[in-house]
Amino acid sequence: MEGRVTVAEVKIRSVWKKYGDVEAVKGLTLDCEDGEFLALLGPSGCGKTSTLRMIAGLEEITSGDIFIGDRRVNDLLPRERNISLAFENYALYPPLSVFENVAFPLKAKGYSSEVVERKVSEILKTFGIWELRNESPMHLSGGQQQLVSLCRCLVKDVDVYLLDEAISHLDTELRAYMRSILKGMHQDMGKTFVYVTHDQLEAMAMADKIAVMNFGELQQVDTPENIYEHPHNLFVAGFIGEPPMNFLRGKIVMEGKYYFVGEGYRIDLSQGLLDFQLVKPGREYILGMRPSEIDIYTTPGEDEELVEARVFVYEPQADHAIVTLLLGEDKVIIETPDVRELEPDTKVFLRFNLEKLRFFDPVTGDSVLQIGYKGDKR
Amino acid sequence: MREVLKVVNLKKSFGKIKAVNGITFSCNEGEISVILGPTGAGKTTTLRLIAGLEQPDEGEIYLDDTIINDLPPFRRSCAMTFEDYALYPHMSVFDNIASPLRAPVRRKQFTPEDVRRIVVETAKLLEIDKLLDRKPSELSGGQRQRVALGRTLVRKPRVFLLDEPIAHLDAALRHRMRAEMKRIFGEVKTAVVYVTHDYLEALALADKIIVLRNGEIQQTGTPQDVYFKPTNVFVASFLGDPPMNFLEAALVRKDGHVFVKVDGMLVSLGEDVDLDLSRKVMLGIRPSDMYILKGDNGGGSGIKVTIRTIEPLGNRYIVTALLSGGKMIKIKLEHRPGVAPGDKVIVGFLPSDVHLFDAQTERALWHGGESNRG
Repeated sequence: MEGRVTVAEVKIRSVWKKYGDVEAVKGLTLDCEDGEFLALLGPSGCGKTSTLRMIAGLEEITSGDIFIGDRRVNDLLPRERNISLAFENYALYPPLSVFENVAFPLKAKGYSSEVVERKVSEILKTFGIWELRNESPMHLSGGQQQLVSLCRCLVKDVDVYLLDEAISHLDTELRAYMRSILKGMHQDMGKTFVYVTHDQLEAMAMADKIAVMNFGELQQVDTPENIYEHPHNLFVAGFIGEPPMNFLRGKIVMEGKYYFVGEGYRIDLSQGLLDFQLVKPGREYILGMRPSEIDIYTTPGEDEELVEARVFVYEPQADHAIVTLLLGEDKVIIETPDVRELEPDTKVFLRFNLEKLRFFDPVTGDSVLQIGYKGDKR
Repeated sequence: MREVLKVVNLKKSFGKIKAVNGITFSCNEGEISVILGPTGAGKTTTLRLIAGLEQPDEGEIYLDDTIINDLPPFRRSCAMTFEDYALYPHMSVFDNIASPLRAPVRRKQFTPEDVRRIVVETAKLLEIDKLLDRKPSELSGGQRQRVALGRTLVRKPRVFLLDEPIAHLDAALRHRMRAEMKRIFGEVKTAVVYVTHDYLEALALADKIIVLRNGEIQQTGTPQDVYFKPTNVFVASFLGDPPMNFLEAALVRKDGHVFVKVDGMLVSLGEDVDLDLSRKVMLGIRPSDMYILKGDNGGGSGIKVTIRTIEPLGNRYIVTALLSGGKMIKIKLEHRPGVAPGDKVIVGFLPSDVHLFDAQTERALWHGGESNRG
């Protein structure tokens, strides 16, 4: 096929995108390996869609280079890049049926009607919209139209698939279901996917690698598990995970043992493995702890120092519970498998999982315990 | 506990659409009753009927044992907050919160000093007492939501009506506001009717959950009841993420025990199970109640599946697997699953976690673990 490359990796090198004075993408350097599912994740305005549109050739690159395989694609037209696109906003042909919409790119490539029939039927069934094949797109809900658009994108045989918020209009339950369908599809195809989303669960669920962006800058690029366990800064730490990570402000202090001392409480760190090359006693830090990394007890510890707190409110979730606590001046959220109701103002005792300690610099927001960071932060 | 609000056989149609189709429930003082259901279930219509913004076609609404069907909204002692807050954009936070106290019907009740005292007290409770001079446009989403709540609280109504009050907030703020609302409502001891489509919100807040679908009540009960003893397939699958797995199954009797036969596996339900064996049934099992047994020659009882995808979600993993016939099931684990796509494994579960439903009517027939959960 024309323009076909054998290794379809996407390489982004020092790419800037400016709209007048607005810097949408600031010096982005990022790789998506051949066959990899890369998620570009961030809040609106972070530059993720601009990045995708530059890969697609729909936006000009202000400076820097983008490669697909070994070809520099900066000056190639979208149709010369051997890519396929799915947008948040469908762009279906209203006079054509669902089936014809999905068949359109295949027919344009000159596939036999037999092949078209087979491929289109297969993909419509995979995404659960076979029953809609004869409908006009105008009669479909937003979510259904989005699935048609997604099918039309994936039915093509190209090097790189570019998807922008491709399932965002589905309701929550169907979106969760489609994550596994799309992920399975990617596994079967073994092709390169670049997927833009603001939804951290979508990125975590599907991607081999997540690039977290904010204000046009790359924050971290890593596997979903590393992004969750070892966020490189406060932004990534707070953006990933629900309920969100707790942030506690305090100082590392030597009081016979090492403690993290916050407003009105202290946490015994003596059982944790702290590298004092990185974490300096006497300095202020923000301690990041996920709700599932703190255990809650109703009696004080016997041979260990637990941290006293008071119950603010208890929220049962059937098979687990979420408890908001007052810890000194701070509010802390805890997820616990213990489903015994705790009345407001009950005194409780906390054990922090010291294997999970994450310290952030309160000025820069950067993690001071960076494990395995390989990303290029410009 | 004292019953404050009661609706009896309430009906409301819009043209041919039966939005609310004969619902009956009651709400007690100091309790949060959550109306839970998908879009189009009739939740908001129910709330608007109680508030007096819609007139019912049939049925009665009682407030403290008095029928209020014919009272105008402002005489009902029901305060409603809306999904979009509906704050006055030109007024300060103070004036927004004070507005119900200055309404013509109450103007004579409160002196300006009363108004100031009540507004400041309420704002302190909601932690917005430093924002009283701001305009709504200068506030964040969460702050606006609190102002709307404050405006509702100052009326000291008998009933609070809340329609998806935190649906628009981002995840972090939603968690914080949910906790704070629960705490605030715990302190004010009014009856609360809270509408949501989010089952986790319902479980977190509710003393009582009323599950609504197509204008009809599917189940009323405590959060524990509704989650562990769902009355039908709809309730069982609506409360859960991923939803409960449903598998075609048959009942058989062997050696005095009743077994469910599912995908060639026999699950014992025990000796004293009283079920009509000729009935077609569906076995329901929650993704979090399943576990993976490695290798398909383990000999243990279980269902043979092929792993399709694994979604790492941080504190949990969702595994999608296919049965031999192509049927898809979900398994939720709290640890790394240790399997890869394409692996053939056995999945198991405990009889105490099984739910059985009639395949035709979709009604629940039997819940495992019912006896020990009470």
